Amino acid sequence: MSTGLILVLCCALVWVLASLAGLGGPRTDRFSAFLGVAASLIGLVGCAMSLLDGSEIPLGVDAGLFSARFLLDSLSAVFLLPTLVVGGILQVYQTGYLPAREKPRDARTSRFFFGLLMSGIILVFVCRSGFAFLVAWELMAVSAFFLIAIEDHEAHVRRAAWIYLVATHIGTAFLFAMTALLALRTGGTEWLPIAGEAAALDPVIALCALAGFGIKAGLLPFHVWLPGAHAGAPSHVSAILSGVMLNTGIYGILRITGILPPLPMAFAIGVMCLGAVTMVYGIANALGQGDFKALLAYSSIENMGIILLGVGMGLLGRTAGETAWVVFGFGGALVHVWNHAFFKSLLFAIAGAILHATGTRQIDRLGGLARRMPWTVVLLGVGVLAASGLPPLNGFVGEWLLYRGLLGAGLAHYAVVSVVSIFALALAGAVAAAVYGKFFGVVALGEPRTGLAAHDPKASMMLSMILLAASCVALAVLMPYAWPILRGAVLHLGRLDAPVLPEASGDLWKLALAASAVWLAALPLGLWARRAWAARSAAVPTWDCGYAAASPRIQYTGASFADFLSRQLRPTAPSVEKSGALGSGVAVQPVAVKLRGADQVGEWLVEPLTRRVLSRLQRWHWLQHGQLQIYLLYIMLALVLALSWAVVRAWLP
Amino acid sequence: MTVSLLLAVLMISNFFVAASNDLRKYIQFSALQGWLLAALLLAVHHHLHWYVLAMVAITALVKGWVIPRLLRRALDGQSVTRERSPYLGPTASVLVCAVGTGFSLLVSGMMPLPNSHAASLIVATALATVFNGFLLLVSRRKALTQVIGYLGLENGIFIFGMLVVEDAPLLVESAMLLDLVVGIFVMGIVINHIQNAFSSTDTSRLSNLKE
Repeated sequence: MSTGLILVLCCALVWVLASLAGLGGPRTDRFSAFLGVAASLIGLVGCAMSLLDGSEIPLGVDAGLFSARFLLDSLSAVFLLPTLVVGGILQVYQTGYLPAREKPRDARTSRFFFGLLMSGIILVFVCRSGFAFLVAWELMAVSAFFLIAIEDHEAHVRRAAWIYLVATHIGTAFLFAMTALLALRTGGTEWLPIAGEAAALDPVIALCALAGFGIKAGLLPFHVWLPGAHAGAPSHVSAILSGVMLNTGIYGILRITGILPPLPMAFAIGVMCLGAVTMVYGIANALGQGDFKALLAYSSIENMGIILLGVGMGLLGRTAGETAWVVFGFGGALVHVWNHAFFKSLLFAIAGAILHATGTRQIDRLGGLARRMPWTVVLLGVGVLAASGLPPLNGFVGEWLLYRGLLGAGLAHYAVVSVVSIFALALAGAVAAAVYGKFFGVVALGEPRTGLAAHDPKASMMLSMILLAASCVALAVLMPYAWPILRGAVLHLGRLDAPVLPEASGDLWKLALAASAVWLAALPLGLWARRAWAARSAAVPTWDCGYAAASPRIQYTGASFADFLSRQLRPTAPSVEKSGALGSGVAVQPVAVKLRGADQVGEWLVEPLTRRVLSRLQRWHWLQHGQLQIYLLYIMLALVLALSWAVVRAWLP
Repeated sequence: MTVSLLLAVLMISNFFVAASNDLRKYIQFSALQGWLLAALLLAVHHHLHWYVLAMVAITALVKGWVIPRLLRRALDGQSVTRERSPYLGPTASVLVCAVGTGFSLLVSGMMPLPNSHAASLIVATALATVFNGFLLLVSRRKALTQVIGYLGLENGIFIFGMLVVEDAPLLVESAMLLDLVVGIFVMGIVINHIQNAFSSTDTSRLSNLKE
């Protein structure tokens, strides 16, 4: 018996209890929050126990037709840890963001499905047999749908929720195919590593997994559901979807490729290229967004691309027998999974705090928040630095490992792929810095552009945000201590023996020392600079070239900040609609300019494709009468046909 | 022998239901089928355990008395107690019912079943009853007839269960019965609400509710 696994299963159960307690409304709201946090702590203890004793004992449940196998190994634990921490913190956050007293209906829905979502995700990470995995997967997918649709009085939220539901079920269809093929391959429903030679079926299974799980992770042609759903959902939901649920897609790809024998070289390189394209496309689209939650959503697509690049690198290393690539690829990917879980949920939590205080998601309607929401803006600074992948924070660590892998063994053996990947990674990093520069600069600095009120959020939200930001800093400083946990998963994925490990951990030590040094230096320096600044500066208006009617609206907007880079990344630039002309001479006419962020892959590829499929399906529309009797007739005909087939088959030789 | 006789009576009662247009007749025949099922249960079992007797009593009580009573109560408030314009008239229904019964006999004859004669007749009756339930569901409009149709479906499945009577847990059957009572109870309430809202229990009008 594995105590760790049992504790994790208990944790999933307590999350269900928390969701039930959430139904009670204001009276049981605190209890529900407490149960959620307690569940997370139980799960963390379980993970820790399993990691410490290192035993991997499966647990089986057999109840008639339904049988399930659960197993908690290092890979599951690596994904469970951020899930539990972020989930517990967000459970506290939502009591402030959606107070049960003020919005009872929304709060009830939110608490209930949040708990179910959490237990679904936890089960996804420990289920190791096909059917049970699909059940857990659907529990997660459907509760996410209800969470996205919480503010369903708005048309765009309803639309986003439906698109999500369709997308996730297309993904599930692929997963059904994958589970069936995998059962065919292994001769059982249990997911155990396949020993021996590769078979012709393996790439097909891997492709099904890539498509099915890729939809959940928001990889390129399947990302269409993601921005709408993340922007339309309440912020704590966006945070859990982006920080935790997207990871289940990555987990699935890792798990399935880990079961299969080493895959063909072409598949691994394809995965790397898909990662590179997704990352550049995601961040380039983020640049054109005027809605800061949509911006963060596109940035999630970028981060999933980065992680997928690492996964592809690890797969390539596994096929080619190149240990360094396995370690740096899978290691970088897993480190980035952790980092992204924390900084993205932090950023969405802050986005929620800003939205809560000001009531707008438009970057260009905000400004000057640094003075009115000082603590939030400090945390925003941490999140933004981490998300741009800059050194003293955790976002840098994962990318560093990837660069190391690409520059080391990569350049020596697979020069073309490596150079392309390095280029993509660097480009995405640069654009990410610009994106977050735009977000932070326009929202936090300068003067308020509109008369919207703003203030720091209440204690429960503030506490969760501080915890998330502290986790980001801690991951940057303490990563070498966490490496042994990740190492187990990397060894499992690469099917390596324990001692073969090159310089990754040395790198992590250097990075951590550097980060600690920067942080230790930054605190006194920052305090000193602040005091010096306060002593010296006097408030005077900005020099405006003598223009008499200066107003806050003549500040740089987000769009103008991003304009230069947007032009360079032409295909993803927002489209501009001008109404009226400026006029000539003395008489100046007012001109309205509208920017619309365009998702080219969505508009050129996915939408026409969907439309064509729908028009084809229209032909069968006459089957849908909307009359009960006709539907029952269909069932009866199906029954008669099935029985007739039994008769005919008896006659056939 | 008794089993075959009871099964034959059940099959014939199907024809009576198909031939009728009167809602009160439907209820009477479904009560009759309930009693027949209870008798069948008694006849099939060779060893009369206490739980078999309990099952017989419950079946007779629920299907022969409680459900018909609930349905009659639902009918009391209504002005119209006949199917006025069914999709299939009585004559056509009887013909379809005959075809369905013939098909059932054909199919059950071809199935690989244990101890052939009684078993194949049980399967045939079960299928015929299921088909008749479907026929009612598809060809009639009134909400109450829909309930009778579902009841027919369930009766068919119940008869099918006799086939494996020696080793099938009676727990399953009793759970099914409980399900049925709740379902009918809810339908009774729903019928009254439909009556109030649409001043008719014609289910084809429900499709007006769709967008």
